[in-house]
Amino acid sequence: MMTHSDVINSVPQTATPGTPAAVHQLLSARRFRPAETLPWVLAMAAYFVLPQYFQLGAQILIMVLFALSFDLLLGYGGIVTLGHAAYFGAGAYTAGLLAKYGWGEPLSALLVSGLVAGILGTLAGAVILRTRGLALLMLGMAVSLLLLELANNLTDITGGADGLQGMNLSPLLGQFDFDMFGKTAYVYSLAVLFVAWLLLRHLVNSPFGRSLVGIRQNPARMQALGVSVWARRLTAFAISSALAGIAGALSAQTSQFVSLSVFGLELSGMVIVMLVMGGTGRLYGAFVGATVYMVAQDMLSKDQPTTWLFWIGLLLILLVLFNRGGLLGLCDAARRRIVNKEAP
Amino acid sequence: MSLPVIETRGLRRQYGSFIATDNVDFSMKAGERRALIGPNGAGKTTFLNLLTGQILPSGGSVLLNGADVSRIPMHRRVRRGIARTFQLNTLLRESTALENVQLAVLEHQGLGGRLFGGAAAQRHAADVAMDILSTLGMSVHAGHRIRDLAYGRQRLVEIAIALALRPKLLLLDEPAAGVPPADSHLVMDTIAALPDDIAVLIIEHDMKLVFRFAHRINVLVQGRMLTEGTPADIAADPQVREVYLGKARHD
Repeated sequence: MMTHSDVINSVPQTATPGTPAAVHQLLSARRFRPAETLPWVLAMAAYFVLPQYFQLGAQILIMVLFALSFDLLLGYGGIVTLGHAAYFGAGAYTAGLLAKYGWGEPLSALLVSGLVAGILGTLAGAVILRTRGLALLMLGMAVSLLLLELANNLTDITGGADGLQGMNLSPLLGQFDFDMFGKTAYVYSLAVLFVAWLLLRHLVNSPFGRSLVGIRQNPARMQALGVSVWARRLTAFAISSALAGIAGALSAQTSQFVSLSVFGLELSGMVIVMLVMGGTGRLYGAFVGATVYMVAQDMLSKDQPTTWLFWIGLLLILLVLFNRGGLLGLCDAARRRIVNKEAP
Repeated sequence: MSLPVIETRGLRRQYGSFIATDNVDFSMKAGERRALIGPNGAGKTTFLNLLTGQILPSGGSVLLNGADVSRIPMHRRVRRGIARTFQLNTLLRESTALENVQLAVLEHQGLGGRLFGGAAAQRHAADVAMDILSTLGMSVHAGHRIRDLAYGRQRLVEIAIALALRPKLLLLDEPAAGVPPADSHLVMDTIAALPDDIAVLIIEHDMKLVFRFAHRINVLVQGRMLTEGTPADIAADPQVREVYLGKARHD
């Protein structure tokens, strides 16, 4: 027999009384969950506990940002491209050249670099998003290879194959010098990542972000709703490129060096591996994937400089074969199993 | 107010030497209930796709409220008042019924591309979507994901999405196809109760539904408009009976 209080408790708990449960459920995606503080708590803890790893930490945060920018394209937009390094590289070279030729203020240079990468992404995206599938993949790659050759040939300006050196950065906010231990680099990268994450988190829950997910699931359906699929994908491409450019600029500023590899296929491939490993279309996959990849690289490559990628490859194969949601998908599955066991 | 909602003049669509739509003149007034019938391969869906802009004509023109839209892409025709449902399921399967409809509401309100500050808009759109689902008797299922819904109810979500776009012209491509007989009344009742101000064109094989629903019927055969008339005319037309109804109705 159900008691009166049982009946009351079985009524779905809604924020505003009278809101149908389905509406409440739909709108609740925007709300912050406690688990979302976890990456930030860990990153701050690392600052105090692992000061010897500031350099690596900054690199991880930068790759998280890069993977995060790519998640908007791949995970939300369903746009598969093998050339996202083009925009990372464009940002890196912009920041590097600015610092080399007299614009030493890091924050404004960071924004300019993002802008340059974003404009480049808009121009390139306008063309490559007219295609799909293999053609899109190849055109995306072509953009990064074009830029690679450009940077390679303009030796006088970019340093060509020797890389861009001689950057001269002012202290961050006029106070914090970029020190050799990477302390400033770490905090700077963390702060930029946090802002970018807030922005993206808002974006993917906005009408725009949700229509993007609709387009990923079924472009024809969204077109039938009156959506210009191309225009909406281009917006995503532009934002993603700008954020990738900011990641590239961070990388240039914190390491004070830019090499041609920022335009390389390896980097474009790496960001896909990181994201797929962590889990696409959920923002946090970038955090998990980039961290696991970079830490594995750091730990394994000391002992096995040539074979460490084998282990990443193996992990990737297992994840893709048995769990399409990446490492975070694995966590979800485990949690579901536990919850189901607890339920009668 | 005699301006047709939709009109085609000499509409043609050719694939190589195959003529899928052959010189079709067609028009519908506001609020009309029309059915398009014809044997398999007659070019019904092609004709519908020409109206929506999913494919562009090889010749002739499509006029929407008197304006030539022949060269205008599909998404812009939608914004001018054409909505359609699909023969094959194109719903967002991983999303809830409510979310599917809410996205349509947002697009109709022109808010779908908003990057920021969409909270109030989303709440309002969710309420509107909920209302639409309720009028179709679907409020209980609003929170269910599409892939968990029975097929008949999925078809209702299709219709709910089309209604969310507040169309002047609604094109229903075999809305009852594949729906189990036990659920087909859901779809039929919904279609019968569509708002009066919307012109509705239905493509359907189920003659019971066609004759119950349509005020007028067009018969398409091999890309050509064979005839047009009231259900009684069509049922009595010997030509129609020969090419189309002949097999089904030998009374």
